[in-house]
Amino acid sequence: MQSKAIVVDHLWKIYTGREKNIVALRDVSFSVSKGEVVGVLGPNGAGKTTLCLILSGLLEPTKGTAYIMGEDVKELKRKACEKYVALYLAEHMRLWNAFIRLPALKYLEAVGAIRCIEGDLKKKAEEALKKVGLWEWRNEWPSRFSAGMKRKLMIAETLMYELPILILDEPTVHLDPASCIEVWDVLKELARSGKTILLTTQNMEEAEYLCDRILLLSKGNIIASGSPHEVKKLMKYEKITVKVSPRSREFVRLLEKIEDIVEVMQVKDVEDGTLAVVRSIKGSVEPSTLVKLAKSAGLKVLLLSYEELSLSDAFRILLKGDKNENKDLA
Amino acid sequence: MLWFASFINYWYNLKAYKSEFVSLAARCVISIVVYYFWGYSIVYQKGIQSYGTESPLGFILSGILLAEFMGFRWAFSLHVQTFYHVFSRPVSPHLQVLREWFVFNMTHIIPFEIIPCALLIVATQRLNIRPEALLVFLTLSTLLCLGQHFMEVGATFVFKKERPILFVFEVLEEFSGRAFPITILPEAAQQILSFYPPTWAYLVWRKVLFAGMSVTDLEFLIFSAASLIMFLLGLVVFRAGVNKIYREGLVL
Repeated sequence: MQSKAIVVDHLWKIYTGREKNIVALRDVSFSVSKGEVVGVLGPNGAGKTTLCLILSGLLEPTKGTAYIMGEDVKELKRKACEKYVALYLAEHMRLWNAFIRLPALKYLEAVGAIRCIEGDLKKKAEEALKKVGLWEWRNEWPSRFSAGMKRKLMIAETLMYELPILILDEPTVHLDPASCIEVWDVLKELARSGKTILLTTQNMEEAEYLCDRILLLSKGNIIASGSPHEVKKLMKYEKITVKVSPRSREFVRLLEKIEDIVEVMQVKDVEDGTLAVVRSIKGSVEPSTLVKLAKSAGLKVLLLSYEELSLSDAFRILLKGDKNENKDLA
Repeated sequence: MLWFASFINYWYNLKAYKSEFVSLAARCVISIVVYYFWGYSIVYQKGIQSYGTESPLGFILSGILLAEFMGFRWAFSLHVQTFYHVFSRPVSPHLQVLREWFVFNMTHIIPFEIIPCALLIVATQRLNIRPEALLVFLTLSTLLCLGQHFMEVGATFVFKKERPILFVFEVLEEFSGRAFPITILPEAAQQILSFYPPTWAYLVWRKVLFAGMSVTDLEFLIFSAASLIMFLLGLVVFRAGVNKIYREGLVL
């Protein structure tokens, strides 16, 4: 347990409602090693924020427990945040309005003073600003920052506490792609510095870019886990893109009749023909089969490619609850 | 460090937002004018003598001053939307609120609202103040304000309703003697308001300013007890609310 920063042990959380109870987490177990970056992926309502709150000692689990640096969160409660966990909840974080007309560096110093951070505040604020890449903007007011820069400033505040575990709940939600990349770079740098990071996201690209390991969470269950590459390999499917000429929707109907094609994922008419993307069991649909099929319909195959599924596709398929999948590698 | 944060923030606010200073002054003047005419028509129906002054302007200005002082709790960050933000920081939430109160008062409320209003009172009213009574009143009303804040937030968490709870407290405060004497209200409402500590605060505050009230007067003693009870009750309700959120989550 010593090498593990986080151990989650058969964790359940059930919210008691007036009409019905909601199971937010259902017998979830996993662990995070020190210095590891783990992403929890899941759609809205999957239980991601609940997990973050329990691991931070701010929410009581219904059954099971979790250990942070070997200590039970049920006993630690809010002390988990004081001793080990710097929590960043994007949806709940606010810049401090009273200070947003201070230069960014002074803002961090002032917030640090309110939060009773000990030691040389100026030095800590400088280091945090440098880590998040806002050093050049240290003399600008946070009120004038872009959304991405504001997020980075809030992450800087979180870093000033110098705690060993960073838990980030959807750090890039509602940000434009450029701002997302800015935040990703900050997190990547933090990961390189050896911090243990657990982040939740709905963004597959983010998980693939940042995480050593991902957990797919759906309706409170972990439905798959492993490195991004392993999760993709979990799929016994492949994606086939075929373009025929001239345009023909009849060809799509013929494709649907091939037994080994599981799903026609996309069909669109392009300038010189029709493009179809289908999902099939790996190795089951030979290129010659598709060419023959097109020929029989009087069509010519212009493009034929076989690809591994993207993480987004893998996630979508796993969420559909495909019964044929082997669901866990870890 | 807190003093430094307060000073530097005050300086930047002043430097950067001269227009805000002007707008605050204008807001204060407009409030006085509005309250004056509103109060003028009501004051003479039932009188304000029970508050220790015969001046409608004095009554209204002192009401605004205490309301500004009591209203600072709205600027605290300990609300539903920021609960997890405050609670996830590695510092006691109570300590954060106290520090926040200090800085916010030093940078926003005292220079921009309380000092101009206090100067207007000094310039226009005949005051009769016992310094020790003023000091004790300010200390107790701070506790009252913190207690009310903790109670509002705690009740929000316990009942899982935000707007209705804040609305009830806002209505109670509106009718507690801020802008007009409670004697104009029906007897039943006056009875209810006598259990609401700020009602005593507005009564005692004016008597401390204008009638030389002493800390040993019965009304002052009632106010003292009410403030302390409000503070302690606020902490209890807040604790209950926080425990409920820990068990059930922050779903309103």
